[in-house]
Amino acid sequence: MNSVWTMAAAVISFGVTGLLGKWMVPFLHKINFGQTIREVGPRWHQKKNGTPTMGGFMFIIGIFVAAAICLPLFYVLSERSSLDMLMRTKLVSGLLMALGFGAIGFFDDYIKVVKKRNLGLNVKQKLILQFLVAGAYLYSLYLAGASTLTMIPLVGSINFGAWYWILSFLGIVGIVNAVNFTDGIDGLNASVTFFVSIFFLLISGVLGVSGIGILSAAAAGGCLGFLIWNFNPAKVFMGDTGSLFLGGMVCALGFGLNMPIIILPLGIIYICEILSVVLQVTYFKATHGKRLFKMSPIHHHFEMCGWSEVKICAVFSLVTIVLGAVVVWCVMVGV
Amino acid sequence: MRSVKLIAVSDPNGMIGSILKKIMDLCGRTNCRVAPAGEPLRPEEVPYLLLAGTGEFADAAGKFQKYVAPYENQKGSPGPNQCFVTYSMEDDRADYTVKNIRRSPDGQMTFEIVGAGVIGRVKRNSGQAEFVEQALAAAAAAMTAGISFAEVLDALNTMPLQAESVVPT
Repeated sequence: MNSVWTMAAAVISFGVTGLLGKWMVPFLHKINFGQTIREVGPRWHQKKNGTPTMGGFMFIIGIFVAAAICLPLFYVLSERSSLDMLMRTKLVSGLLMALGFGAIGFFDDYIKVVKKRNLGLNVKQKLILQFLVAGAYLYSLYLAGASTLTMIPLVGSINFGAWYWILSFLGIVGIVNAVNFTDGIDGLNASVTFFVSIFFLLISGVLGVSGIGILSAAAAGGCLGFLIWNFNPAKVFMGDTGSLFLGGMVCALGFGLNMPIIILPLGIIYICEILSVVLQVTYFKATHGKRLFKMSPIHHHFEMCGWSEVKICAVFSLVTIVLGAVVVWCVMVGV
Repeated sequence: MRSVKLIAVSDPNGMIGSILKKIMDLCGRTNCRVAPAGEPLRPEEVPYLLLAGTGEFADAAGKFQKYVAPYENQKGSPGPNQCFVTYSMEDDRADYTVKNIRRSPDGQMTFEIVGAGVIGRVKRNSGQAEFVEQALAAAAAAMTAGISFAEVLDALNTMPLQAESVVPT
């Protein structure tokens, strides 16, 4: 893997994202993009009312600038052979998919902030748009000749045939929404996704997939740059603009490595977050009003148990690190 | 009418050619003939792909529609409309590389073929170290010849490996 361009992507993304905050946080304040905090959240979150949202634009720009500089230069200067159409499609379409999800998030945030409605797009509208973006991404891979063969670290290469497309279609939308649910307390989504990106970077290094390595480094740099502004006490929230974009990035990295299955263990926090919501709702309906957790998504449950936001970020990041290390080990030694 | 595609392979001991032939057979490609480079063209054949495992015969690459060569040992220049593909055991810049070669105590050999947007694992119950590079070259040629990555991996995983004892072409 090309360490120079990987490092450059991380530094550029971190720098652009971090510096943008100096200008964008006051700007978002000025145009009143302060998020209305949902009444159903923990009551102490009311004090966050007025903190600007849509800060996700900061790392979206940072990651795009880093990718736009480093990927073409890497391909041009490294004298690579020419047959990289599928990988290039995976990189470009992956970025566009993330941007597409970010755009859906932006519509949602915009409705919430400008129309002063707590909830933006309704569930049906969101899902239709998300399936459209996921479908367009998978269709681009299909046109570029992507294989339905996927690698499962401890198992080997499995050909799912047509099921690959069906499972991917549903999986992408599921993962993107899971990442979206992880955004709810200061710094949580950015810190977890930072470590997820770092592990994608390590796996790219093990397998020598430079393009995905550069993209992973850009994502990690963007998340770290955003944490300067988003770490507790947050000066800006990423909003659905940012969280849906990060969901798209995580999917782009998993599919880029031909191992989308590793998103599940690497993104175990995302999975726990969305499962907590599903279990809570199911249990609530089944028991006519009883709750399984004090509040869902599960980070709110821990908040209600007295954990500080910083402690939740630290523990969730640590879980990601442990699972990430296991995944890297499985990729390296898997038979 | 020329209906058979000639895949010419230049390697000293014929092992790459024998693995490639096995892949072609297992994938049911009957319209291709794998033969040592330098062998005369038959009347029904069209020069389709040159796999220059050693760089030898590379000067003849221009006659073929497709040209596959080691990244470190590119000799001859591909034609203007020629599909040119490289492979390498060490250099990630090649179109196809091999990563993460490992051996279990019971002799099982596992490695990943990485390239052109695809990654897949090859597992063999036995095998000599040279098999990895030979399999990589054969896989690069097979995929350049239009066989899907899934089929190539399946063939590499299931072909009777006495690849050591596969009769060289």
